[in-house]
Amino acid sequence: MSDEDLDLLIAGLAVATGLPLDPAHRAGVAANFGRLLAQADLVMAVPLPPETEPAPIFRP
Amino acid sequence: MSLPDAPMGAAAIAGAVRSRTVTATRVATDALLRIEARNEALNTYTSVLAERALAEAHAVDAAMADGTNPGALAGVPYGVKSLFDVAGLCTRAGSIINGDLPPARQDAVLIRRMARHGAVLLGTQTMDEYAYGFTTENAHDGTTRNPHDASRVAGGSSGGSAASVAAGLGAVALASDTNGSIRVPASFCGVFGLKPTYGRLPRTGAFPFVFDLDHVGPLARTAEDLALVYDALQGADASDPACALRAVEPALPPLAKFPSGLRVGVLDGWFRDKANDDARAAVGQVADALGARALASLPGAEAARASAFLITAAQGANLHLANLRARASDFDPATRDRLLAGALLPAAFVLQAQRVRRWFSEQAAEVFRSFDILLAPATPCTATRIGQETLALDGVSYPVRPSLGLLTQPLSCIGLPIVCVPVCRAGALPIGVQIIAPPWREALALQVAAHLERIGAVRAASVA
Amino acid sequence: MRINDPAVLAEVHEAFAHYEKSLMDNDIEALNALFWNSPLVIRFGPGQNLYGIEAIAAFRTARVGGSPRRLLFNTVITSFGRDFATANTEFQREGADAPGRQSQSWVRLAEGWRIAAAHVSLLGVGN
Repeated sequence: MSDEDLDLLIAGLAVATGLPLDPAHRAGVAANFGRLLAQADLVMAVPLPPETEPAPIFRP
Repeated sequence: MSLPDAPMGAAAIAGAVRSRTVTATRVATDALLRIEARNEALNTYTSVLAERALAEAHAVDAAMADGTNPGALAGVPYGVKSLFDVAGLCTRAGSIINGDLPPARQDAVLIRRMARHGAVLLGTQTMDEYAYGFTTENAHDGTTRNPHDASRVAGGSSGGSAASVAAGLGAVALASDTNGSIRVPASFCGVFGLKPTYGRLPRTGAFPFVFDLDHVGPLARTAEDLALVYDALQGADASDPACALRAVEPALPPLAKFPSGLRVGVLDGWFRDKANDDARAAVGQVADALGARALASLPGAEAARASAFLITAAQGANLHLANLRARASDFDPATRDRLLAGALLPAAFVLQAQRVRRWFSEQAAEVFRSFDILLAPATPCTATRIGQETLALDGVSYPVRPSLGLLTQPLSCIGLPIVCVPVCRAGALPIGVQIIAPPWREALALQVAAHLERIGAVRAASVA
Repeated sequence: MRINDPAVLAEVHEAFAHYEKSLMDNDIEALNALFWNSPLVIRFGPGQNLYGIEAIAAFRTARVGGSPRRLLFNTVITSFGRDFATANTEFQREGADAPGRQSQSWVRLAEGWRIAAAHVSLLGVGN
């Protein structure tokens, strides 16, 4: 993802989430979001059989 | 009786108080004066509760005078990471934002259990803001120094707790571990730490970070002290929805036994690649002491670490969302931008991460069919310097702060019980090794740790 | 007469803390300066009864190492009007099992707050 696309994405998500971003924080947020995306690639690459349930189980 | 200069362990103190060799008041006074003398240099305590400590010590001495049983931890002085509720205090959890919350109405459950057993609370200890860090370099409270080298970090996020125990400012400490926050500082400070199975100890009254990954547990200078405190802390509590409804499984009575024919494996792959020579040597020392030759392969560690990374960012951010919206600038800069980014994470990634946890848990269960205990370094390296930006592993440069948890994070991701044992080498900084057991087998991991300590393969590092 | 006027209490707390710090630092000059400079000042210590500032100053100088390190607890300071306060505290000395008690009468003189009378003892056998 290009830097411009990343900035646009973050700006859009921030609006959708109702999270105003101070311009002074934007660079730090972009850097961290980029790291999260890289980690997400690793997670999404794991082939999961359909029987693999999420780890947390809700017990009412 | 005069107290020895080397810090006394919890078992020794409780024994001395119960046999009337020393009063709890004397032990508490000594501990409080030690803190007074050393806290400014080390910065391990945020609040010292002298009056409360003396009152608790007096109560133990009164019980001894009465003939009432003062408890298995009689007179044992301890500190707690400052995310535990202490009645009458504001639970700051390393932040300034929490300063606006009302004071805690009662002690956290684990503190109540310590009190019931006669332990004496000295105060609350420094941490990374909201537990989101591995170094205890806190913008509000300052940096906690490694007692073995003041130019180095104590590790985090339970830096104050580990450094206190290392420096004898309290015999034991209570702390938390989400991705490595007990094991990393235990490694850097050269003390023992226990991260129990996820759901073993109740987190009631401990300020949260990541509900799916938060564990609480003790730090100490001996394996026996870990077991002694762990047993006092055990027991289900319905107020913590993640706390398993399991019976207490005491670890102290069987501690001196070492099972024969134990199958011990050294984790390879990720757990070897992300470790420098010091870390590999430490694991080698422990493996040799246990006569372990076999390597164990646990596939998917990198993906598991990534899962924990994503879940941490997303859940941590969700917890703090209101404050991120209203007062982002009041956060520690080191945590703020990570939380802001985590608040924006798409659901697909986090949901997949939760399924990868289940998958990786199954991989681990498979490995535990062939092995009873697994070994891995606790940290990629020994304590890094304060302000250090990068660390080198196999010629590749990594950012220090997130990388200190590379070896702990995949394992806490799936809640395995782990004892971190300190390996000391002459003229070198201490480093920890993880003794990893299958779920609910804390007693086994502690037996291995105790055995290693008995034969001199591991010991708490001495502070000058 | 106002008891525990906040402004007065604050001054006495500060003087009290200054005394405690000087004691732990064994700053003999500061300790002597905080006592009323008079032959009428009195200090009953655990091991001695001292009358007058000269006797007290001589005691300070002669005490090698100064006071043992100690922790204070259950400190109660009460001010009466603008010029008088009592300060009582328990303390726990390093290496001692029995707690101690310290009572001070503080007076605001022209030169500032001064200790006019003090009593230090360890809690022991008695009715």
